[in-house]
Amino acid sequence: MNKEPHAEFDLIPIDDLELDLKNPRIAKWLEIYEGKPSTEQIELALRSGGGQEDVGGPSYQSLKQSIQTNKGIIHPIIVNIDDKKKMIVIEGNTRTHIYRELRASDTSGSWDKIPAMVYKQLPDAIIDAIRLQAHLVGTREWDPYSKAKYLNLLRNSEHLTFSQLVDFCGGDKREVQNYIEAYNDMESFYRPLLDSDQDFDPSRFSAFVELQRSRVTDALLAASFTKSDFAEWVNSQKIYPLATVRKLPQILQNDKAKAVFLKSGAQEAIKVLDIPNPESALQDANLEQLAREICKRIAGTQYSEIQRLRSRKETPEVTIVCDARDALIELCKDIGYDEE
Amino acid sequence: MAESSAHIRLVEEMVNWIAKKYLNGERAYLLIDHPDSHTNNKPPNINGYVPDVFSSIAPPGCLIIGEAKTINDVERIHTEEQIKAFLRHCRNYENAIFVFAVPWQMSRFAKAFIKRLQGQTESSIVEVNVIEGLLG
Repeated sequence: MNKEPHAEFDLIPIDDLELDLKNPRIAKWLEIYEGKPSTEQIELALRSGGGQEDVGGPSYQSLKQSIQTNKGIIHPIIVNIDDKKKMIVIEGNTRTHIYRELRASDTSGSWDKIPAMVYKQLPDAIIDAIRLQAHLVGTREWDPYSKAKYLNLLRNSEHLTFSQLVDFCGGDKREVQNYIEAYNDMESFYRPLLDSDQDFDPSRFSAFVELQRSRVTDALLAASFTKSDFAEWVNSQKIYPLATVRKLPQILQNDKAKAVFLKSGAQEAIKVLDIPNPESALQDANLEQLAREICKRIAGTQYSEIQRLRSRKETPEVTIVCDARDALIELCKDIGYDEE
Repeated sequence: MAESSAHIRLVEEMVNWIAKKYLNGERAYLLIDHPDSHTNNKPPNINGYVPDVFSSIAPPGCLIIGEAKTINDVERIHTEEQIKAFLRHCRNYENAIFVFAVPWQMSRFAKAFIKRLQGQTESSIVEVNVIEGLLG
C-alpha cells in the first residue's frame, strides 16, 4: 500500500546535515569539479553569483541579512534521512550554509540548530517533486503594489526605520522609499478618481514608481501639471503602455508632442518625438543594417565612454538607449525569441 | 512562435468559459488556435490576426471571437492592434461577442483597456466579456 510521505518538524544540529549535490542552484557549478566535490566546493558554489539578484529570489547577501535580522529562518528547510542514515538537505542548502557562516562569525543569535521538516527515506520521485516545487515554481512573490502597501504599513504605522525595512526585505533605501511614496501617491491621487474601489487597478503601480523619479516630477512641474493630472493620465490610459511613462519628460518638453499626448496619449506623442531627420541616411537603412551597426558600435565602445554614459543617467542620450533596448526585447518576443 | 504553457492554459480556460456560457458546454463548435487542434479547425485570419478562439455558427446568428493574453503580453502594442482588428470585425455583426482572457491581476486593466479600444474603433455595440479569476 502506498503511504503519503510524512514529515516531522525538528530542530536539527547543522553539523549533522549534508548539503545536496543535486541542488539545482549549484549543480551547474559542481559539474566543473571531477569526482565528488568537497563540502567547501559545495559552499563555494552556493555563494556564487553573490551580489546579483537571482531570478525570483533574493541574493545570497540579502537572504543572509534577512536571516540575521530575523534571528532565524521563517520557513523550515526540508531534510531527508536516507537509507545510510545521512541527513541530506533537499531544500534549504543556502540557508543551512548561512547558519554555518553566522555561527562561525559569532554573530549574535542561536545558529547551532536549524528548523527542519524531516522525512525518512523519501523515494527519488518525491524528492524531485519537492525540488521542482521549491526551485522552479517556488513561492509566489507579492505583486509590487501589495509589497508597497505592506512597506507603507511597516513604515508609517509600525514606525520601522528605513534601514530596518531594508534589512527585512532587501533592496536599498531609495527603492523602499520610492515604493512607499508611490503607494501614497496612488492612494492620494489615483484612487479618488475612480467610481468605486472595484475599479482600482494595482497593475498601474509601476507608473507611480516612475513618478518618483526627479526627471518625471520636474517635467510635470515645469509644464504646470500636477500629480492629479498624472493620475488622470494613468486612469484614462493616456500613459499606455506603462513603459511610455519614461518618455513623459520629453513629451512634456515638446509643445507638439504635448498637444498630441493630451489628445491621444503617449503612444501617438512618441511618434511626434521620433520623426527622423529627413537628411539622415539612417532612415534608409534597414533593420538588419541598423542592428549590425549597433552591435559594432557597442563592441567598439571604449571604457571611458561607458563611464561617461554612466554619469549621464536620466539624460535623453541614455534614455533613448534604454528605449532601444525595450523595443528590441519586444521585437524579439514578437519573432519568437522570448526570454522565457 | 512557440506558445507558452501559461498562454495555453488561458486558452483552455477561455474555451471552457465560452462553451459553458454560450454553448451549453459544447466545445465542438469552436475553432481553437491550440497545439492539439487540427489545421482545419484553426480560427481564420481576421484583419491580419488569428484569434485564439472563433465561432460564427453557434449560437445561431452570433459571432464569437476570443483572445487570451499572458501577464507579459497584455500591455503591448501588438495586443492593442490585434484587439482593434477583432473589434473592427465584430462591429460588422449584429450579434458579436468578444471574450478576453487575462490573468486575474490584469482583469481590471483589461476592462478599461477594451473600453478604450471600443471607443477608438467605434465598436461599442459589441458585447465584451473579460473573464474574471483566471490564474496567470
